Amino acid sequence: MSQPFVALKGRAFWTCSYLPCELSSAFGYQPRRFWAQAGGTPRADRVFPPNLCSGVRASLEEAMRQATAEDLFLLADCCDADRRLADALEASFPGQTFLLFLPRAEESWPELASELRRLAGFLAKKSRRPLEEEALRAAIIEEEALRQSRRQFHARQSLGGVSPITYYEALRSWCGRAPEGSFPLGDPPAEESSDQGERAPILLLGNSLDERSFWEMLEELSFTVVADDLCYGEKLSQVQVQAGVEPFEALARAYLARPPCPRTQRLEERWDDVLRRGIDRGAIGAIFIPTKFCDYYAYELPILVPRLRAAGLPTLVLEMDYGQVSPEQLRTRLEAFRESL
Amino acid sequence: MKAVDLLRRKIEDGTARTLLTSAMAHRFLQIFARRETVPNQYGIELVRNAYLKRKPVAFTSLFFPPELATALGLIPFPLEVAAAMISAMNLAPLFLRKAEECWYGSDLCGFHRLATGLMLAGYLPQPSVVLSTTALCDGSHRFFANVAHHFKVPHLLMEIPNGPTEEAEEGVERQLIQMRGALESKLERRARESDWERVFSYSREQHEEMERILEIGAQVPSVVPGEISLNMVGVFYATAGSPWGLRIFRNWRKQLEKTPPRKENYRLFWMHLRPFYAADLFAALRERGAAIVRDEFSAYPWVPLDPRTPERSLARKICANPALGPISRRLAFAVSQVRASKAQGVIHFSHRGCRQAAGGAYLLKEGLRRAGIPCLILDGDCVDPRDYSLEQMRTRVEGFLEML
Amino acid sequence: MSQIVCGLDIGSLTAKGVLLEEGRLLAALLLPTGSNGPQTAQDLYRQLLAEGSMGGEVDPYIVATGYGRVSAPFAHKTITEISCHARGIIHFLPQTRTLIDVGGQDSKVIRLEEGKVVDFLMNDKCAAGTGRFLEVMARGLEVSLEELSRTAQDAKAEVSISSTCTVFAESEVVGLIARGRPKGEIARGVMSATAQRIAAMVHRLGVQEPMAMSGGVARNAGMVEALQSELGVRLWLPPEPQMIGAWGAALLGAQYA
Repeated sequence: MSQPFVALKGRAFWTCSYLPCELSSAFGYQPRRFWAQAGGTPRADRVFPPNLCSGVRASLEEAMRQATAEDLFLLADCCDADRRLADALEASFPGQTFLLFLPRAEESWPELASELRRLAGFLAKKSRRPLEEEALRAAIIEEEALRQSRRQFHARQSLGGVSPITYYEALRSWCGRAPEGSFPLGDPPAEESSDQGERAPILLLGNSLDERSFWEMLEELSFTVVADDLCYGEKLSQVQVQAGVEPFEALARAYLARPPCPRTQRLEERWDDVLRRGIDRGAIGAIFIPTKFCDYYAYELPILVPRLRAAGLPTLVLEMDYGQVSPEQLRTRLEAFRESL
Repeated sequence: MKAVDLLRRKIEDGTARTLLTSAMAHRFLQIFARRETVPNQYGIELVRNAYLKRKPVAFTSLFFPPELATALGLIPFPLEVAAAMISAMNLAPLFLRKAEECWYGSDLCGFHRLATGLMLAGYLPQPSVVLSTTALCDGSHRFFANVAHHFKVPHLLMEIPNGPTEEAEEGVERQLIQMRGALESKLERRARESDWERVFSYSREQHEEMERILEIGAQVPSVVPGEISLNMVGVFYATAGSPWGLRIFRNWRKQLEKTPPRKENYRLFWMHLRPFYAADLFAALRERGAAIVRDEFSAYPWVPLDPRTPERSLARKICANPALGPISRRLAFAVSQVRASKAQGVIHFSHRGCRQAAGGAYLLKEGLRRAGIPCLILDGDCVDPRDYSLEQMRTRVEGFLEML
Repeated sequence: MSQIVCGLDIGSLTAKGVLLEEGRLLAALLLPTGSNGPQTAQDLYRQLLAEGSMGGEVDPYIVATGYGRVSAPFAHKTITEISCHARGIIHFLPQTRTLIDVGGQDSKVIRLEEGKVVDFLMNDKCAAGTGRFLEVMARGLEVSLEELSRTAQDAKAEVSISSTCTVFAESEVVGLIARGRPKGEIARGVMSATAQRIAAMVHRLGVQEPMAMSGGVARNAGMVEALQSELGVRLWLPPEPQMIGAWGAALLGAQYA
């Protein structure tokens, strides 16, 4: 992927997919989503109590393990746990954290645009260079091209033509976390399209699933993910930033208009959208994995699970600690679910 | 028999649901209520007004300004406070189980789980609207959204930015204006300046009483029974702007002025809320001469309310919350309150399902340590007694006191 | 008459007692707590007096500690095990700055400055990181606690136990056995998982040496090794780690008598 604007400086770690990567790219930072690492979270456990979101814990752990003075942490106040993550990062890496006030309603785009300008000010200060509108527009075009290829990928995926591991690798790559030598974006290996006949097409719901072994198990048990509701999955691919509009306004409008997440107030629309995608794409079941101690997804369960089941989608609920998968329990549950479909 | 005992018996035998909507039952309850404490009388009247539909009901979150609902002629019905009251009556497990049966898992905040159980068991009155803010607690957003979904009524949400900046206040003011407009057209009733004057005057006088109570708490030795202050916190927020708010806190202040000093070996500042069912924990503290001389939520600062600019005033009040934004604000507030109340240490009650307070507790403790203030983090649940063990709590608390 | 003091530490699994005269040990005893705490406390006290050849002629000043401290109403004073363990360890190693006490149902980390408790942490309400966790895992592996420790020390490798919940971890252990993983490797994984939980608490208070360990789990060599390797420090072990709380109670009794 070319980066025509400015030389790369440090990494800009993010947690919430409502935070436009276009901005950090425009200032020469490499946007990277925090990604849960193997080996538990011993460093983060010193800062956070055990009953705080395991995703936030994994993010702090990664920062404490490998972040440098050149890196930035761009967070949104999307939940109480992320706010506390901002506090913890600020304590360990003073001056490297930005916390954005993220409104929920689409009509609040002027507030978001104003917050994005504040973020641009922070990035300008940190990178010691002023914002160049050209660089931002170029970053928007580049990111838009990436999302276009993501949407093409989802189109193939929705036909059952993508294996779980391929999708996992794609997600990693889209989040700036592709391992060396992974496949080029939007171009999964050719053999993917064959031998998918025996697979059970499912709808995958939950915040995020960074743990590779989970996807490997889906693969082993012949599931295929035809639609998802992950934070960094298909919902993010649907963002469409308009060209020709003032960039901050365009970004704020586009990100708030994307398919809504459980934090928004557009809940009926969200539930309909998730259900429709699952059914339209021929899913025969759903796997719902709320991250432990995530209130937003925990409040989705009582409403969404009965709806999925009523719509004829048998649903397996797996409570899973982020990056901490107990393989035996997981296998038993997934295998039993596969047998029941 | 006390009114609360009667209510408990009726809930246990399953007849309370019908009785809650019976005018006759409420007349009887009123007779019992005369012998109750003033806060309990408020609770009983709240229940009567809400269930007999004397006025439209608005479910409200703890930091939602009830002045707005009262000025518009709504009954603000504080769900988290209702949950605390149910827990204090030792009725929580019944309703918690109900919530858990319906996919509301035990990791969620106990207040919200308990109120959900009340809702699912049919014990909440029918609201006309649900009003909440995102101040401090994001879990409350989806809890109130689900409540509104259950009752099929609108959920009006106010989003609160991270601190008291001019821009933040403007943003909240805009939302308040929109919300007031939406409510006025729904209720077909306008709030006049005289309504705001009345409501704000109650609010101001109630706060003046609270300031006097805080001064009394700072005396050495303190006469304030901290466990009761911690019971009053929710009532304080829920009754702001109503005659009840003024009555309860004037009465409480007068009572304290007549209270003789207690034996006091230790002075403590309490952070977050109390376990409402755990009277024995506070008895154990009393036995050791440990006085809770002040608590975090009672000490939140007052902001003058101007009836000519009601939304701006309320926006300022909401944004002045010292726990909004980075933990450094909450820490600075805690340090100032410890000094002002001459406390020797802090107990932070880390409510299990609370991400914002419990999630920052270690960072807070470290900040307090740097300021030379010892802090005990007490893990537990404010309303769910099922994992509570007095002995475990006692060991932690007594160990802390021995250390002071 | 010389001063005689008695410290009783009534824990969840065992009750310990120490009888001292002017700081000199007269008798020390350990009994299972059983289901009748008050009776055990009474028996322990009587047996201590008998062993110390005190008969009914003396009236020692008694301090009770431990979860069952209220089970000894005849004690003159009750003091928490936090203060007692701290006082006890200071008697044996006065320079101690961090004390790890892992007992049957809880674990605690105590920070000391010049012999005084300045901070402490206890495990959240969960058996992981306590003696109970090790017991349950030993049950899953069908070995005794001693064998668990020995096989873990002999193992060349370890398997990772990812569940932090005791019940889930037990089923994980059963699954690992079913897949033919050697017991020693699993045992070492169990020790590591426990050590990680305790080490997280130590780190929260900051690693300050000299660091000592008390409580029944300190007798488990495999566990001590796992903790040392997790923390990267050497742990100092008192002669009878289980008795430290009772020692501390008696020594504090001498101050109050």
